[in-house]
Amino acid sequence: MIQIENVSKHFGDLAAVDSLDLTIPDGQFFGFLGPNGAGKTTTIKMITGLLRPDTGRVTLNGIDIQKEPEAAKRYIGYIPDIPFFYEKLTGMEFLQFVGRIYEMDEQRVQDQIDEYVQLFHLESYIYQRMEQYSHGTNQKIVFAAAFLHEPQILVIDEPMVGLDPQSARLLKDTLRTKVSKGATIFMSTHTLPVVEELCNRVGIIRQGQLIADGAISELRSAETQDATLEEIFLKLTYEESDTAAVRD
Amino acid sequence: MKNLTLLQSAINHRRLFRRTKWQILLRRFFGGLQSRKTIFERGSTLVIALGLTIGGYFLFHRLFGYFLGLDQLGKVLLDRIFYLGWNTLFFLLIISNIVTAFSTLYRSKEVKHLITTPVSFRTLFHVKFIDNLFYSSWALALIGIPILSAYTSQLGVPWYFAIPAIIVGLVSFLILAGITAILILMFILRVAHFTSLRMAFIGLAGIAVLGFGTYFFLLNPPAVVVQGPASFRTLNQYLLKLGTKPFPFAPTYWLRELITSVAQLDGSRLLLFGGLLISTSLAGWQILLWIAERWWYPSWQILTVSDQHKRRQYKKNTVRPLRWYWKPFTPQMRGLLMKDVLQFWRLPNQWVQFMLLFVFLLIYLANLFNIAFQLDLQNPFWRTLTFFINFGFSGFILASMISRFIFPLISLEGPGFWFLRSSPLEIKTLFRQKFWLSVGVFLLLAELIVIISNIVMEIQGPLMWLSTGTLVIMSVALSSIAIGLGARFPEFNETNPMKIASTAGGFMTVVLSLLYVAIIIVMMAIPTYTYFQYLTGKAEFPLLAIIISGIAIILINVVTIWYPVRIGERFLERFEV
Repeated sequence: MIQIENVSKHFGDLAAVDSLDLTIPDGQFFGFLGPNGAGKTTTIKMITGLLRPDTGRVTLNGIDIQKEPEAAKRYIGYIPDIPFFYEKLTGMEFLQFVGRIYEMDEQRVQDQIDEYVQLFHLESYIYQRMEQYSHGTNQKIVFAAAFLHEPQILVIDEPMVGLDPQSARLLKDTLRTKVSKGATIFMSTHTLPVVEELCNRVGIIRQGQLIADGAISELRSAETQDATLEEIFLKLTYEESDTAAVRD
Repeated sequence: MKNLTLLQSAINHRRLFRRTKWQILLRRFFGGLQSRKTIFERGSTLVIALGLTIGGYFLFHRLFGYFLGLDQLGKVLLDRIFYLGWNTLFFLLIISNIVTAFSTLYRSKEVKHLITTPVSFRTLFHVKFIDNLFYSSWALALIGIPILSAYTSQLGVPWYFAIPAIIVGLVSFLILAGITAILILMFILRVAHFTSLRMAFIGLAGIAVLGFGTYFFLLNPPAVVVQGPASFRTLNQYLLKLGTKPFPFAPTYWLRELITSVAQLDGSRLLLFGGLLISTSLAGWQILLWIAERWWYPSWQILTVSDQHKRRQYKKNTVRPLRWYWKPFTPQMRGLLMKDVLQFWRLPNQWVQFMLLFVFLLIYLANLFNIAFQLDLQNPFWRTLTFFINFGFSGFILASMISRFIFPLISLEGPGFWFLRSSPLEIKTLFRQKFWLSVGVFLLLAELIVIISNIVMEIQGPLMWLSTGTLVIMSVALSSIAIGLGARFPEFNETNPMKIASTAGGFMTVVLSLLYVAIIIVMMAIPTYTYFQYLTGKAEFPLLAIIISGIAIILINVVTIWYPVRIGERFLERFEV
């Protein structure tokens, strides 16, 4: 379970996240939407402990990420929007490194790596240096790394970028399976059809404030019955002035 | 009319390229100056650099004055030290230029981007060459300025003659080293096309070792025994007979001749050697550009294409049972250590530099062996002096290597820092791993140098224990400085370790490390010298000096070991990705 309680984060005068309250229970697939610069990545970085909130707190399965970071981080698997690596290592070496950082048993690490290499069809790449990987292959390695220690919480920032349709399908199926087994997923993306397909709850953030929260059907009833998520999103996130500017 | 338009277009292109070149260079050196933090950082670096230069001047002035005061012997010794020092500096400059150029001219993302723009390869190469020259030479130039100033001052050259001579001499010297380095690198890459990069570099190192070996073998001087001050006359005659065997085509020779011709107000020699330095630099620069026009872009492409097509498989090396020597470490420490070792061997600019410095050390030891074999130093004063010079050199090498290889370690975590900070890894564990890696590797290396050199110089007993024991503490303290400041001034966006080591933080690390080594050596030297005076009956037993030095050494080490790591750790704990 992820609990975000009255969390704010400022960069100078800019309120990147402003008094955010959210609770995502176990087994929920939460889609976090918002225009560029709305505060999505800042929120994700506070959940994963990469940024410290100015006020409020984030707890993962009841553990405060700022007070007991090592204990809280054991529960999460994080997939950033632009993952950079130790590009001189091979995929295999990187995954083994990840297993050791999570203090997993060596045999279990190898079993898990074998499983994900097979799942993501990485057999012909896994022993090459990561500097030679395409963006899509890099993305698959990040997913394997995040899944390796079987985390209860997955925090994902823009997962579909660079993936071919087959890999995207595979990933969606894998995420769905994880949720069905009780994992909690917090996913930020601009790919709205993916959210419609996977998420059972959606939150929309704008200028650091949560402006909508609920199942897609709930958001839809508040607007029109036939509206797509894209139409709802545009309606909620764009000001009248923005619409006028687009029209001009 | 058509010809006129073509001419106009060519002129416009030339102007555009010239402007581009200056824009790139100006951005490199003055970019970011609108930020207060950058101004503060660069201002502090400038102040420290000035302080170091002025301090260095007084130190070398005193040292050279001491040598010149030693009758005939001093002048010859000073001459030999000048050649040895500047040849070493030339060698280090070549290494430094090669290592930096590998990433500046070939692996840089900026080059990859600029190649897609309408900037000619000649302009691009030119810009990156100047860029490289600056990065590789500034630190050594900073050492060169006070040495040459002190040297000219001791030779009695008026400052208004000395300053232009130093500028001409030093700038030409740095440029010649840079040109030589890039020509060597381009040649290596041409050879690497037919074999591998590793083999090409190993081949070059092999040739260098053979060359130096032959040089020392040919220079093998006749033996002389120095048993005490009574034999100074013999040593004098010996050294004078031996003289200096300068190589007349070496830049060091030209530099030395330029300085002495200014001191002797010898106009024709001044013109000859000043002219030689300037004309060779300018001609070398043009030749380099001419060769680069033909070699640089093809070799850049060969390297890039081979990177993409090599697709080397590491299967056999990666999946195997855990070796016994990894088992004592916790999984996290093991993971971090394995990663660092793999990265080191796969970053050519790291291991090439390490290898070349290692070759340099071997040459030093061979030279020391040669000296010790030829000069049977039985007098306790000379033996102690040689011991401290050697110990100082070992400390200097240790400080330089730790600053160069350990300071960038935390910054090199940059690409994966998002992962480390979102994982259950404590910053303390990361620090411990870097710390023990540094202590383990460099302690072993430093102890090897000191023990071998002590055996060569027949130093045993208390001095042997003193040096080996002090080096243990020194490697711990120097590692602490490098890791602590490396974490306090991280450069997470830079992937080139050489550039990371050249930042303001890196510079501060070198200065503090050298200062630390100097203080420790002085603290050790004072009681040791008095102790030897006591042994010869010239002084009382230096109990007070030993107690004061001992307490001071303990205090300095406690602060040096504890404080840098503490500030680095605190900074990283609060660091937001």
